[in-house]
Amino acid sequence: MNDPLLVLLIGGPLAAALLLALLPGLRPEPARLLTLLVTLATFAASLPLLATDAGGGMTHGFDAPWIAEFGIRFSLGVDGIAAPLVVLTTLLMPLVVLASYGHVHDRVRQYGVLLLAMEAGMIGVFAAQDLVLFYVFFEMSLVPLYLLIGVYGGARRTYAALKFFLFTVAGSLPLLLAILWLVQRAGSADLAVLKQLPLAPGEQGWLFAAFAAAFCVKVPLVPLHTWLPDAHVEAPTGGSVILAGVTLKMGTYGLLRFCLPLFPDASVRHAPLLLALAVIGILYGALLAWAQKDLKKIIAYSSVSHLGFVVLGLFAVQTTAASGAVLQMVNHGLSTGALFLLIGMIYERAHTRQLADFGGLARTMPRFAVCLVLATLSSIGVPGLNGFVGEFLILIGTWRDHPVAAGCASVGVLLGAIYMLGLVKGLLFGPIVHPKTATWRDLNSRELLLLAPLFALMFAIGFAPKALLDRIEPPVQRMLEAPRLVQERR
Amino acid sequence: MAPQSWYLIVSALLFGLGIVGFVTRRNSLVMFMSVELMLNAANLVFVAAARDHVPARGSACALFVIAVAASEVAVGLALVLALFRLKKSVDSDAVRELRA
Amino acid sequence: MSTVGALLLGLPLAAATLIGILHRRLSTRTAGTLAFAMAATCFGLAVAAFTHLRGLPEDARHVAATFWSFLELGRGDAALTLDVGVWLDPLSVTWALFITGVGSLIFLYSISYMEHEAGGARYFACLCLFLFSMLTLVLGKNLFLTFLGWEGVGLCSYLLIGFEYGKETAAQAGRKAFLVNRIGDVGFLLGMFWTWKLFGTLEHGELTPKLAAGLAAGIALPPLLALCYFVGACGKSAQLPLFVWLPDAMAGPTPVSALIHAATMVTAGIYLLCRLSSLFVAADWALDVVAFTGAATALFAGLIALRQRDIKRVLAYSTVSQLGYMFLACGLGAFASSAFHVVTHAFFKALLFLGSGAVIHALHGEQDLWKMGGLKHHLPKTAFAMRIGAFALAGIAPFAGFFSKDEILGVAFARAYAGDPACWVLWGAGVLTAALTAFYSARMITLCFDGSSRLDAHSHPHEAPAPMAIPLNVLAVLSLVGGIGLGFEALHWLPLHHWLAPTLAPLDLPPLPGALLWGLMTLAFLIAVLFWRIGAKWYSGDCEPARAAELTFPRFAGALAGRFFVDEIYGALIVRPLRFLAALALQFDVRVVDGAARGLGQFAALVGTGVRIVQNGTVQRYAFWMVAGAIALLWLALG
Repeated sequence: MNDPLLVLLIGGPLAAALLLALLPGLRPEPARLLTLLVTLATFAASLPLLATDAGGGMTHGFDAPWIAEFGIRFSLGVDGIAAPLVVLTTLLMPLVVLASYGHVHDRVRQYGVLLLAMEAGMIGVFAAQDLVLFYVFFEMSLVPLYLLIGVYGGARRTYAALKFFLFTVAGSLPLLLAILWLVQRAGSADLAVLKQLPLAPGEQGWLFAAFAAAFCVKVPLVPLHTWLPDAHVEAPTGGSVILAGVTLKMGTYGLLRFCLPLFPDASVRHAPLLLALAVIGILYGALLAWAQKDLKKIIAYSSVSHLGFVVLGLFAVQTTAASGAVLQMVNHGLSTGALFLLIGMIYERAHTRQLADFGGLARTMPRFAVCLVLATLSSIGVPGLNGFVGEFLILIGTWRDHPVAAGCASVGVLLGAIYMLGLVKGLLFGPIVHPKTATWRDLNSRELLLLAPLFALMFAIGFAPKALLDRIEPPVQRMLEAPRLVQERR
Repeated sequence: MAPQSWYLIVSALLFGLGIVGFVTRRNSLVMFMSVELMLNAANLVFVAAARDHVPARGSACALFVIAVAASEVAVGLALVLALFRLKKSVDSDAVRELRA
Repeated sequence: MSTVGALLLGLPLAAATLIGILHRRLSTRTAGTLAFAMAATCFGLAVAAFTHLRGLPEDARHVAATFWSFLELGRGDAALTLDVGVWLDPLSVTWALFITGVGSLIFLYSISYMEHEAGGARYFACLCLFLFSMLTLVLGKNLFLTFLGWEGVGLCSYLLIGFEYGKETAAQAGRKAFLVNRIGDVGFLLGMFWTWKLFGTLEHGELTPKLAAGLAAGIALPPLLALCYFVGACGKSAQLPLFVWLPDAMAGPTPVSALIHAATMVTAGIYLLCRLSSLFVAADWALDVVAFTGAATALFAGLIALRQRDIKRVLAYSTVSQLGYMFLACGLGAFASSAFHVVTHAFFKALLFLGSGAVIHALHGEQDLWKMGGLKHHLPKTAFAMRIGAFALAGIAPFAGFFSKDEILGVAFARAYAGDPACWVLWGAGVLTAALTAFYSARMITLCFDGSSRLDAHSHPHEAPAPMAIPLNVLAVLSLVGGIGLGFEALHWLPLHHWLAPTLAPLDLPPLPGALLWGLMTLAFLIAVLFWRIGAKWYSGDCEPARAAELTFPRFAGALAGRFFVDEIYGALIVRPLRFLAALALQFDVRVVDGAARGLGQFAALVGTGVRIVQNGTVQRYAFWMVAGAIALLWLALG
């Protein structure tokens, strides 16, 4: 009955991280190679997760007693929501390692330790079926990222790392309290048991608030977003990719996996507030992105805007919208991951990230130009690429019950085009600005290779999303069952 | 026999002292001692609860905390030593940079 | 037929991918030949589709083909099913025919035109991608695919306008086109959301029956729904107030202007209106908005075209103006007349653009009308072809534009005649625009080809090579016979209308008496000829009458030359406030939102500092606090 695959996916990177940590004499390049191989193997091993379909139920379940006294179990499993996110994580990790060849030259071994530990934590977050276990993984992924930003980051890295840490911890302490309360009430931390637990309205209210606070900081939802731009700007490329690609999704994943099914009454009651914040986030984030001069900040604020779409889709409490939201989590990981990788590549050459320093790169770096345009088109939701499908589903689903919110959010589609095309124009078109532009060589084959899988997936999802959506929809329907019932009762 | 609330009050006081100490001191040794104080405040609650409720659970938790505290001291003191060798100081502000 | 549909979409996409991947190894000529062969094959396929549909009984002239299922979500009335496939019916095939037909000619023309430009293969890759998107737009079997093509053509337009990306103006214009189009796209999107909510489908084949059933069941169709689509159409077809991108789009290569910004893409808005004609007809006052917007745009752009110096800008504004006519026709319920004008306009406007391209090519990039003149001696064939195109544009019989334009004016008149006084205004605006059109067409031709030369002394213009001349000749023939061949209302010869009838909402209007029809035709003809003569006279020689007129009304002339300062007004009213808002949001974010978070942190630090004063290490101070604490405890315990 117990399938060891998920244990392997978490334990493998963790063991490799320990191994690397215990080998202080290892030279940088073997260490990097080891990291790369482990992440690649993890990716390969994670692919079967996508192949199995259980009509919305959990597959690859693993269950063992852990702290039996309190009903806490070591329980893992994935469904159609978690599996794509796990595979997204395992896909991004080798790319991050490959990208590190360009910019991480000191403490390479430790970099690998942090990446692998983080990978274990992130997979654990998406696979945990026990609330306490989830919390452990949730926090476990935080520390390596803190160090990644703090040690390998830019000039203001300590400030950014501390800010990131404090924001997240401030969010997750109420979460811990709420989890302890729930476990003590139910005598079990099993999600399936907790779903059946009858909760008084007031109780649901504060529990929902505690859960939502932790997740909304991670998302991040306006006004809790100010840690994100700082963290992104200071983080090394790999850190930014993981942060945008996976860490933010933990927030939206948590909202879908825990808030909506466990506290349906409170979710429905507070949905208007979250919808409003999501719409504000979409528009406000887009405006802020437009006003930025630093490439990474533009993408960071665009994440605020895009994740606003995801929250919108989730709290529209509508299957189409929520399925689109899950798809958009994956999409955002692909497109923003690609954008951060590309900006990292240009930074390695130019050592600046100011938009005003660039111009005319289309002539000197045509490959880079094509890649950047593609990633941009995916990000602003041009049909034929992945981003559009997600946005379309979110908006069309939201429109059914909340036309005003969907209408306002649609304006975000327009604003997204404004700032992203501004970025493209500033970098690629017009006259050459930087005197050294000619010395920057175009992308090499390593860089093209690491971008290729992202672009392939962008097109695949853009042209035929059905396979993925068929997987996503049934579990999404399960998550929305309880809140839908509440809605109908009203 | 003293009522349980007394234990809780003492524990809260201990915990408060620990927090104040941890926040206000920059000497990493004193910060460690403050952390120990907080851990022991938690222990006191566990033991007190063990007396009135389920003995095995509370005592087990207390023992667990003691084990955690012991390992923490082992790691922590090693860190302080390393810090002193590196910076000739045990001031926690000396290591803000996260890397050498 | 499903193979034909698949090939119609697959071939351009394959060609685009192939040329795109190999663009650095392919010469312009090879890439161009490949692209042209593909486009010509597509035209053949479109003809095959046409003959197949012709063979079917009139009420069964549609073929649906599904390639793969895009997605299936939800259940019951919230089910969303989208397939990738084609929907061939008279409307979509008509568009496909002229897109691939005119498209092939322009592809052929481009081979020579782009020969000496850098990046020619890249240009053809974009052109193929454009053809794919445009065909997806018209052939797609649901609104979702239409939207896919809709955004796709916008994207290609962006890429092709900014083709010379080193030029700041080109990059800027491309971005402007994309963004203004996106405003319209948001409208289209909202329309789709709403349509799905009301009817549960986005399929072209299902929408009209469901709409009819819904109307029969008493559902009131919100006019705003139709207006959502109308906003989309306004963006793509450059109508007021979203027309500003089209004149700037002339920064792209001239064949692109001919293909995308005159013949095909800009007519996508009219395609959408025709496709949803039953929805628009049912949506109460929505059509009135369409009609008045169209008339206003026609007049407004016609006025601006009067005083442009750049030959391509004259043509661009005339395109906007002619698109206004097509909207006017749709707004009057005469969707078939609108489609008729779309087709004839594709012929003569492509001809005019390609002709102007030949002129610009001969003059090594000169586009200023005031630096041309007398070119008929150097470029006699081009001059002849351009003159035919200009006659068609001006609406002079028997050239193509006359018949389609006159039909639209006739409908406006008939509506007014049937008792709708507002239509007198529409008709008046239409007639006035017709006069303006004849005037500026004559001005353009006269300034360019007649009179004495104002060229640079060392300029030696020569005729274009054969691959450029052939398309010009073919289009010239089409501009001559394309009108009378497709429809002549007064003689009840309306093959295009009958062909399109099963797909369009019928025009509920009693026909005008024959004598009135002939009378109106004569009037329109006389107006066109008269104003052509005036225009030709004003601008021949040293342009004395034109100068006198400018001096008499200096402010009006200045406003015309300044294009009514629309760009400046938008800049002041929309762009700058929006930028200010963004800057404001940034300050708010840094100072207030982040400030609150940092303030909280600083507060904690402050508390720490405050408490630290107590912990200063002085044993005496500690002893004092101990005693004080003990006393306090004692007091508490006792009191």
